[in-house]
Amino acid sequence: MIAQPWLLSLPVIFPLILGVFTLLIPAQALKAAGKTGAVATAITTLPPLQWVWQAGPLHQTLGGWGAPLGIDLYLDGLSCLFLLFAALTGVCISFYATEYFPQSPEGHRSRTDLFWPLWFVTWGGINSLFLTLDLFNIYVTLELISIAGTGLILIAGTRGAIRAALQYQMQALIAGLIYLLGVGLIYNALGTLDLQLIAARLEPSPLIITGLGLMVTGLLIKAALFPVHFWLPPAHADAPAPVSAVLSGLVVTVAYVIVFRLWFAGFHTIAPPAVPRLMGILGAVGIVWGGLLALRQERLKRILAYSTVSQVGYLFLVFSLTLDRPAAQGLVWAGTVYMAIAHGLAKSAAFLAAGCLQKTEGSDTLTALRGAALRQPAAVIVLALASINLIGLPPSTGFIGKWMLLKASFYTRQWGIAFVILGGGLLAAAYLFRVFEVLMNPPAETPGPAVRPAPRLPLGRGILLPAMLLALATLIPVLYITAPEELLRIGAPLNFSRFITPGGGQ
Amino acid sequence: MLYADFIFDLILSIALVVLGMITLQQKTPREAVVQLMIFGLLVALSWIRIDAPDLALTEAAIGSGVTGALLLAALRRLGLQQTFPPPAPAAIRLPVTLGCAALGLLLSLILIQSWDEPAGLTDIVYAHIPQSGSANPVTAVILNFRSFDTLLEIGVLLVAALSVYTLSGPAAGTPVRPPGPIFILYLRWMTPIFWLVTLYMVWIGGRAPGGAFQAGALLSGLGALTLLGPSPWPMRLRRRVVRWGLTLGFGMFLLAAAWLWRYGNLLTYPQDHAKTWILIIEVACTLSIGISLTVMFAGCAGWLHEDPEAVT
Repeated sequence: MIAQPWLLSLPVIFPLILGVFTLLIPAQALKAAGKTGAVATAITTLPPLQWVWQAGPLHQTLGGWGAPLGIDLYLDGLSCLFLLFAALTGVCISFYATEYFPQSPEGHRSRTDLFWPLWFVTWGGINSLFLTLDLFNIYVTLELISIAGTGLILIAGTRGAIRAALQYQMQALIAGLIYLLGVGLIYNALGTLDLQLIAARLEPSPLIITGLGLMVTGLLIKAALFPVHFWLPPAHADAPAPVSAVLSGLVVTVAYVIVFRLWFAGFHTIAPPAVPRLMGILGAVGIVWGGLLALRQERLKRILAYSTVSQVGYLFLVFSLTLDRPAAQGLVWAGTVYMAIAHGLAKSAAFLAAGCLQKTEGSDTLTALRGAALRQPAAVIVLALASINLIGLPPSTGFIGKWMLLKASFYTRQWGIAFVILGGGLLAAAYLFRVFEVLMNPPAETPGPAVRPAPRLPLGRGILLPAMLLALATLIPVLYITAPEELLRIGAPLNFSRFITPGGGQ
Repeated sequence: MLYADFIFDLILSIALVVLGMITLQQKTPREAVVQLMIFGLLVALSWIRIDAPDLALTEAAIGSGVTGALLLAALRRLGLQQTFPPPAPAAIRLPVTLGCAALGLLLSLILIQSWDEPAGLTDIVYAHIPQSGSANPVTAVILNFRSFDTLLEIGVLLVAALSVYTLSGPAAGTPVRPPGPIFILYLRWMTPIFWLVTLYMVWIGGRAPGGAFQAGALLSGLGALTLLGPSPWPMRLRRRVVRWGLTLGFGMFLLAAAWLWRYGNLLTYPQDHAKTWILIIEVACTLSIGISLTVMFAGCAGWLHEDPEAVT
């Protein structure tokens, strides 16, 4: 296919159209539509990707106006990587969801059928956030995602889910307003909402620094950095499994990617050095805090949710690590992007596997799951593959990312961070091995798997295939390690010449 | 004259702060909601004072009217005699209050210190109005220059209405009193007038303050009144029909976006027909906004059922 700049809006518009489509078609056609729609959405990301690979960053002016009057989309290597990541995760979650949610009876639409429109709209919003350059557009899209996310949590229909959804909505509202306040100040000071123009006009005035501070604060809440992570565990643990995968794997990552992009588009040049230092420290504390709380949880999905709090912490080390030695920047960026993608894929896979265990065993408490490995070996294998990433063992993507970050922390002599990176891996091993200890060992009084009849709920065949695919995908970058790094170098981020090639991660 | 303006603004500002504090001090949610609606009207007034009539209209219609109606409907479902739960302990309230006060102080100081004429995009917007298909700069921005934002906003409304659907359960709360004769008469007379003003709002949005959001809010007012009236016919619509109505705006907007791709770019209107395109999208969005807000009202009041036959 001949790649044209306007193809860039296809990964945004197409899933939105699917959202409307899946709301209007009969419930019986939803599964087929969900599967084909997801594959087609993933395919729409390929032509722009091919363009970037061959010809460099891609730029599109929506409505033909161009910044500062209109809204611009921009695709560089960084957004390419995350678009691909969203495509892979999205397809797997969609295929899983077709088996996870029960088929509605003839002529009836049940609450779970609303998963499809809400999910496709969320997907469109996620793709849009990877592409947009407009600060206000980011706000609108974040609202879209968080309201859709609230609806997605509510699909579970339980009391806990309703409480979690309300809490989720409140944090989204507050975080969104704080961000918007910052955007207002920036617009007042610089007279534009376009990130590229803003990056060129930035100067360290109190108005601009306050604006940036508010924007970043709002986004930190959305990305669940310690200590503003409190909304995350209930929301991610009480949602239906495919929704947990969307929220933990994709939505948190998107919020983080915006912080990353804003920061390195120019914020880092004017921010007082205490700010990145603080973000790094909060990240480090979050790694430990999330890990410790994960150790204390009694439900598998809660453990995974607190693990997200811990893993998000790694992503914020980048701000501290790039502070003193700009030469390490490339290495840290690559490591951070690897960590983000590894966590997104692995956590989605883990939540999907946990959903299977929860359905077949009737509950996701550790006591109910005792010995589940004998009854549900496939789900436990997926969980194990995902855990390799979360702990950061070779040969996973998570290992590569962690290795790069560790190297950079030695290079910049930030020994504390190096210590936390290593300790965080041990903590992850501790809370995950605790799960596997329970899963692998049947209760003492019931010697064999045959004794306890598992309350088997009917789960579609092949429900675990997409989860398995996600977990295996985290092992792939080892095979062609340089391709993602080359992609990352294209226009990264926002064509800044300061980008220095990674010092070789491997 | 200037002096009078200053006095008026001063009184308005003080009234806003005082009313905000009064709203927070109310003992029951119902009183707080009523205060909030008055607060919304005062905010609308202050938008007028800074020459933003479009915002004032929206604030009055949505910030005060629709929000108030939604909150009151939800309260009715919960039982009107509700009181607020006991306030959080001082150990939480004090730092929050201090934090908010510090942020407010910081923002005021920074804004006062570094205030000069905001850079803004006003000049660029006015320069492009002739090509935009709308003489009203606000409509030009919303439906042409930044139509992508508006597309997503319409999506937000759809998604919000769907989220209300996910919460719909069996009906709860006290049954509505049968409408009195005056209300029935009022509804009979006002229905055509509501429609007329709604259509006028959409149409005038091309030249003067108005447009889809204000018109849609007005339409939802009619929707809520109809639901309370003697013949709540929207309740008897099949859910499929409502779904089409909900998606009309977002769907039309997306279709327009896809169709306009022929001109080589997303959401680029052909210049001679920009006005027609904007009007079509606005009419569709008005209907959908009206229906979305009516669905939310019905949902808040507990009138949405799971049963596919007897639903809004």
